[in-house]
Amino acid sequence: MLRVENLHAGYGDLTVVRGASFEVVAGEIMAVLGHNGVGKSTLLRAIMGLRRPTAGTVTFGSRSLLGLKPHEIAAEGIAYVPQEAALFPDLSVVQNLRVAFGRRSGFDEACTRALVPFPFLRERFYQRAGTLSGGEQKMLLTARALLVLPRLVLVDEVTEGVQPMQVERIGTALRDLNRGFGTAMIVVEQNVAFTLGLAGRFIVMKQGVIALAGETAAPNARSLIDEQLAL
Amino acid sequence: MVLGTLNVLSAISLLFIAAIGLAVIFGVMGVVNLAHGEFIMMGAYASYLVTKMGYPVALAFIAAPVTVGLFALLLEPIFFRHIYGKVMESILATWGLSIALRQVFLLAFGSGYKSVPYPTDAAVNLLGTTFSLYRMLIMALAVLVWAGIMLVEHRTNLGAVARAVMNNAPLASALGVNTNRVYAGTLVFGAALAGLAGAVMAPLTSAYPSMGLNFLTNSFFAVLVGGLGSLSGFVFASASLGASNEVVAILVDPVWGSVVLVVVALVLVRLRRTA
Amino acid sequence: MTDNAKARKRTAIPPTWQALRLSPLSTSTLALAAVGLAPLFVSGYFASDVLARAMLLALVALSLDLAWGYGGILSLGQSAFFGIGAYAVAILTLRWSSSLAAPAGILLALVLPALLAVVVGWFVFHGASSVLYVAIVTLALPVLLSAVDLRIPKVTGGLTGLSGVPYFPWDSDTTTFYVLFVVLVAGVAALHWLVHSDFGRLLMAVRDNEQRARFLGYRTPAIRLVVFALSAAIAGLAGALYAPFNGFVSYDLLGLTLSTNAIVWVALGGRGTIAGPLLGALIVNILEPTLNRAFPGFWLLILGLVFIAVILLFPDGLYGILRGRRPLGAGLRVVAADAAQAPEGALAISARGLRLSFGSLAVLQGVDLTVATGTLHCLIGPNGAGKSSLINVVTGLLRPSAGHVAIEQEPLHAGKPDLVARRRIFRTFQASNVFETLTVGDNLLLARGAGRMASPFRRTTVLDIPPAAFRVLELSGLDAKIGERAGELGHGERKWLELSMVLAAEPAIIFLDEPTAGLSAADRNKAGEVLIELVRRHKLGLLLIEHDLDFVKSIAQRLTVLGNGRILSDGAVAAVIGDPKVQQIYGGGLGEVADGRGT
Repeated sequence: MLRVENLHAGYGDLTVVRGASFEVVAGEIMAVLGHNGVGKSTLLRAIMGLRRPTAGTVTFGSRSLLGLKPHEIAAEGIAYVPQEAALFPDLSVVQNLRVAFGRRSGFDEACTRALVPFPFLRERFYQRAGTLSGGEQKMLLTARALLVLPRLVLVDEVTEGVQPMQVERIGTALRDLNRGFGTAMIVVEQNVAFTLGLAGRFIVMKQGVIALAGETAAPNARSLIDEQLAL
Repeated sequence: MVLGTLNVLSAISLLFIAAIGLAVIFGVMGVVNLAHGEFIMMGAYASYLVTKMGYPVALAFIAAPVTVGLFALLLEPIFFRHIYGKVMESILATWGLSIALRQVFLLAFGSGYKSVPYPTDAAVNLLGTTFSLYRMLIMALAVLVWAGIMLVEHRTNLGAVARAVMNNAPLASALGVNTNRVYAGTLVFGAALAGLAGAVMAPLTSAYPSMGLNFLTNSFFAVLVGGLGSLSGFVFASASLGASNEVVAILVDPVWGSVVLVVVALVLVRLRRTA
Repeated sequence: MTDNAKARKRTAIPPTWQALRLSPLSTSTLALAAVGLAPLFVSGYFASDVLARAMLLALVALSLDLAWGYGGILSLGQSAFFGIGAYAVAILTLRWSSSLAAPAGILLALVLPALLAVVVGWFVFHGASSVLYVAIVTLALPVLLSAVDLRIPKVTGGLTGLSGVPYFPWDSDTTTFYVLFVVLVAGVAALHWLVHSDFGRLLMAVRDNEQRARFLGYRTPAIRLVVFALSAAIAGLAGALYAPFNGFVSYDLLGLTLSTNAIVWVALGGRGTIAGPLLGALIVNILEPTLNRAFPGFWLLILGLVFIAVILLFPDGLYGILRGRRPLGAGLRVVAADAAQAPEGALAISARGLRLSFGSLAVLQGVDLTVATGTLHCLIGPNGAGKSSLINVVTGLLRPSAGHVAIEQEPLHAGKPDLVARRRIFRTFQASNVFETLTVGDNLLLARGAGRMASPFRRTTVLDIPPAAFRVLELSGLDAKIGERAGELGHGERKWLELSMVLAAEPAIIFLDEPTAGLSAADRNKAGEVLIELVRRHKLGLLLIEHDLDFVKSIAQRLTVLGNGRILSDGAVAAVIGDPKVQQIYGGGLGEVADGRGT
């Protein structure tokens, strides 16, 4: 479904992603692991059209995503959950959802469905999103991704700073989206246990390249990953 | 005293109406439009043409915003789209546009003042003084426009999307919002507001090619003093600047009133920077 | 294509034109020579009227190029200064029958505009100035002044203006021509000199990257004020000469027409080149009478449209395209100073209880931090923890909503990064922040200046920098690239340059924001050695924001961990790394980080 080949991307003269190649099949969840600064976020931004790759290709289905504007990429059915500056703090919860829902019809039904894992958000509908706690914001972001029933979701560190109970709810919501609707996912994470419970495949990035790839079900997956990430 | 207060309120409303289009365009898009005064001027000429052709002057209040809005719509892809986000370029390019527009209208209509009839000559009796009904209507219009914009901004999807784009355009784009379309729409809306301001001003000042310059600096000061993207700040600025201008104009002279407006603006901005 | 490659492609000049590339000085000389010799070839009337007028207006264009092209001050109201100068001379020579009238008029024509510039500038350049604000305020000046002019007709002659202004103290038109010519030549020469001086380099640095200049300790508002006043005085001088030349002054001299035209001449010619605006003004004003006769009324419209086209398509102006982007000051030599300076004693900067929010987003929630000389201190933490914001508050860029920062017990008032820099506390930025349009050498020159006003009379040719700074140049290979534009350096080289600059300023404490990001492994090792030596031998205090934990482990003496806007752990490296809270963030554990916001 999504094929990335020899992707190079960065900021100005600084190349952060140095030749990443991988494929995500429809309905699969792939995890991207690695420390800060290795290029995980840049990778997602490049796919989403927020950073123009300096080399390589990105293909979604039969269509190349290179050169498309982010909203055109979103229109292809790709949702994005950024790590930072991920919502509009001065807009209310419902307004944040509304902006992402766009011109489609059936907002109320979609909203009802998306908030099933996070019923507390219903009570906070008109609260300014910036006043939610960190964990609540991440749950709002997850609900927002669920809202439009995307074909592919790019998730960037959605468990960062979130309490274990809330992490579990987010994980369940993503899993249900994947199983129930067949949404593929690329999940960037520092939380290895979370990703092993959610993803089918993983890659580990180091210094902008993919240092390790494998299946999460493999018995030595955890130890291999820990070795790569060791302090 | 009553007359004085009414004059001050009238001056504030006029400044508000003249500058609100600029506040919208600048606040949402960060596009500086130094041709804003000329948009107002075009609205005034639209009014003149409407009345000259024999139509009722009330029609001008629809024709002016529509024509100027259309003009901005046509100009957007060939001109404005190239300067989004580039401050120095916007200033210079729109300054150039301002020169060009002024010359075009000068060549087309000549430098004379083209008068436009008042929609109503009536006067109202208020607390012992008589005051122009037209000016009272302008005050009402200012309040209406303010209320309307606040409503749209905070209660409609359109407003939420615009605020989203203003707050974080790349995020909005990644969520599926066509930011270019939002920019174009805001530009047209702001231009239409300027056109409306022109229709409002036309009976008061008559239409002439260089009339835009008078509104330009005052409008910009109102926006700059009020702070970007803040409607309440803008209202405060219009109030303080409009009031100081009018008070000095009444007590001393309109020219010194204009000088005081600039001085007050400088002081307020300087104070805000230190605060 | 990288942005750098794109920039290079954009300024590529067709090979045939490259042969024509003349330096600004040569171009100015040629233009002036052509003007000076013109009376031999053209009619007396043309020379004494059209050409002379063009020269005066060229002087206005030059004043604008100084303020805008070199100072970055978009002054839309130069005519205000011109008009004041013209009126000063006109009023004095008309009303005061003394031989002192003219000299006094000229003096006032220089002083009054400069004074107005200083007053306006004091309001407008405070803090970091916004281009738009300056443009609007300067735009208001002609509008206001011409209105005031009409209001005081007893002084200014109102609508009819003042006529019969006495001519120069000689009769010949030719003499007038050559006097104006000499003035123009002097102006061009003085500007060329100024622009190549140390002050000129400082000016361009402030124009292109005010933030960097402030963080090196320069008082940028004062620098802007000086330039603006100088520019106003030059425009006033042009006005002073215009009054007797024209014999008649009126309120439209103060109005927007001249200001607007000046902007067009400078933009068309190519701002920041001297030669460009000179040519632009001369050519447009020589052609104007002819074209105005040919297309009455349309001339201004065509000019306006050409102007728009130039802004959108040829932002460097017509001369700017020809010239290409050759940097100034290519002839600087950099050497290491003798023997290391004795350290100036211990220094510490400390912060207590810092709180910072961006709207409803709480970034710092009560942070204490102390950085002292003689320590290699590292700051780590997850993304969005607030590390850069913390540095921004401590170095004076942001104002905290609570808490305070003190340098050796002296509290610091926020919003003044130049104040912090003058206390010898410097910083580098995550995206290396250097003066991209200047050469490596000039960057170092400005860093060495560390906030002291540069001289307009001197042009440094040999720069000595502290040995530590020179060592960094050698290590990075930048000592061979002194004449290259900083903007064309690679990412790693730019980081090294920024470090060298900060070291050239003889710092006591340096904050480094991700200094090794994007560096190769070899470069990272070199960096580590340099940093350790800086602390050990030169007793500097360093605080590094870092992500590379191996690097941190190898060099840090003290470690602080920031998470969710709070200090999670602080102290010796081994202890902090062994802290279970820290392990959870970095060791890939269950990810149970306490939710700092507290649900």
